[in-house]
Amino acid sequence: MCRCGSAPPGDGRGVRLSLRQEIPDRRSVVVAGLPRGFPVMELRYWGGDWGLPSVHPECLAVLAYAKFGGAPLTLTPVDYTWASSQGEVPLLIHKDDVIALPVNILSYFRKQKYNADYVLSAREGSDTLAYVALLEEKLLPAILHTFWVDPDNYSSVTRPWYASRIPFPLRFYLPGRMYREALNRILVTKGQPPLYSMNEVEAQIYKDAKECLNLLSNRLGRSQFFFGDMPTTLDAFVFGFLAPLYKARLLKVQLQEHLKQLPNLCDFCDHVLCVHFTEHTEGTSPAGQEAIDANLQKLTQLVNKESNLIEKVITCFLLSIDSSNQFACISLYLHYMRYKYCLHQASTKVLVK
Amino acid sequence: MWSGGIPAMSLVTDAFVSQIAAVEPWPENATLYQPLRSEQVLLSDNASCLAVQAFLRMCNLPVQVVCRANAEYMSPSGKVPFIHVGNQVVSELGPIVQFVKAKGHSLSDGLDEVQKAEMKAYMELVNNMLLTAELYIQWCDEATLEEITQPRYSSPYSWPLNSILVLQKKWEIKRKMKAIGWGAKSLRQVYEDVDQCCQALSQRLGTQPYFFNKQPTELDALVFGHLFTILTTQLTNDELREKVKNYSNLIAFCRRIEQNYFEDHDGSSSSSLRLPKGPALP
Repeated sequence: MCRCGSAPPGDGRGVRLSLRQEIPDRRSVVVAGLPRGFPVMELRYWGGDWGLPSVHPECLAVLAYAKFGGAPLTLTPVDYTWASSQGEVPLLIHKDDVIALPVNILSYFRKQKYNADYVLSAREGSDTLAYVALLEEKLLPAILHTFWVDPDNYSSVTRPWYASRIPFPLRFYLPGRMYREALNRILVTKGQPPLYSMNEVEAQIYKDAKECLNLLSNRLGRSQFFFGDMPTTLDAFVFGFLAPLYKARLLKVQLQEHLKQLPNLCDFCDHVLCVHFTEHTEGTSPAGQEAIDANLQKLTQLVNKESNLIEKVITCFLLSIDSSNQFACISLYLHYMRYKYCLHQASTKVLVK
Repeated sequence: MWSGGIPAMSLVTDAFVSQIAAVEPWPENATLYQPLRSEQVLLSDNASCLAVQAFLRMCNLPVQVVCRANAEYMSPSGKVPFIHVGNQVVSELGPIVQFVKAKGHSLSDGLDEVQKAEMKAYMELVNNMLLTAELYIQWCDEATLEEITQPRYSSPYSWPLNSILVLQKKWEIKRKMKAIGWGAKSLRQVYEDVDQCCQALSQRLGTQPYFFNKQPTELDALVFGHLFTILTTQLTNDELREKVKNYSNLIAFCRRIEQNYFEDHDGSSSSSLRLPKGPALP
């Protein structure tokens, strides 16, 4: 069964890159080139926003590890068309293998020799396993709560975002199902007898998560990555879990506020984004936002100028019918064309972002 | 910090509890409640009970162990074990560690911030992998469920309550497994996870006597509770035990803690520890 249908037909980097440029609205984007005839690994994932390559923590962790290990991927953002509505996300498809769950996907990358962990000693490998368990037990419930269960964040941020990526009529059903799954996970794992009301469960999971963030901050200290100078599995997971929390524009921000008080973790997220995901970093960071605003202003000015020019050209053309001043008309027309070109460029820039 | 509409109730209670706890010293008549040892207790519960016992012994705090058939229902969190100290009742290792710390006894005070983070991480690894694997094996593996879990768990009750309670617990565990993504795992994968976890623990321990060198911490108590229980409990097959037995430093570690904290001075293992269904350590 070959499910790599969305991979571009040509092999080799040059061909693919040119395809990408010719068809800008194509959903799959190739990260890096592959040797000729090598089957492409396809990753289904939730797409990006807020300056991130993916808004979904687990997808982001997988993407980050693929970057760290240099794994070439065909990226297929989930759109839940009827054809692809089955299965979980993230999902890796390679030849006949279909792999779910981030941990399995990461070990599959390692088997394919895209290993970011070869620098680790055995003991550091053990530490990685332990810290990933810590993240899953202590931080994940609060992140799920922040994005899915908190009513304000869910109705104003999470549900609109996911619903806009899912076609009608599934958009009315799937976000609700994801909300129920998140709530169920929190209640089943954390909602045990002494904590009877949701408020108590919330207090407990946020307390645990803040403690976990403090522990991570202490562990990271002043180093660039968790184990020396090279990013590894643990960095991928921490980045995946923290970056959406750091970048999302949420209404209820108690965990986000706490994260922002830990500058080394914020710097860590910025650093990974900046070094490994440069194409996504512009856009929604405060600086990126200013850039967008500036571009919009420029665009508005250009539109105004253009309408003025059109008027002038028309007047000039009318005048030129009975006067001999055709030179002025042509020069004005050339100016008009130049502005039109600038306008086109500016608008594509804004639209791309 | 609590900007959301979340009342910090449990935090207030926590603070209150620790304040009260700090006032009173550790009493002589502290009691630890756990299920009946010979005919009722299950692998995972025994591991938790042993971990708390080891922790209290490491802190040098005397506690009297009492077995009750309904310990699970007496516990405030529905989980065994729990301790009754003065007029306080605290259950499970994490809260007990905090409670004991409030009374001025702590095993992890000497660690720096990074070591504390590491200790917490490894404790979560044990909970996340070993404990979940134990629960999986005893409730989701049909052979173990039928042969061991069902008769033992339902032993204090008569029909029809015994079947109802077993079913209820089984569904609860299966719901949990499904929620954390273990629903589709096979027994083989679970054994592999146990192996991976033991390998990580073994590598972390290395040749040191305890995880943080000379002094035992709550991590040592937790690891001891789980590994010792796995090593000494007879299940339907030996596969789980074999996974642990591959790591000789972990076995030596269990022996060390057993000798230092559970053996009477004449050298005989205290009778409270030996599991009746399990053979001695290899």
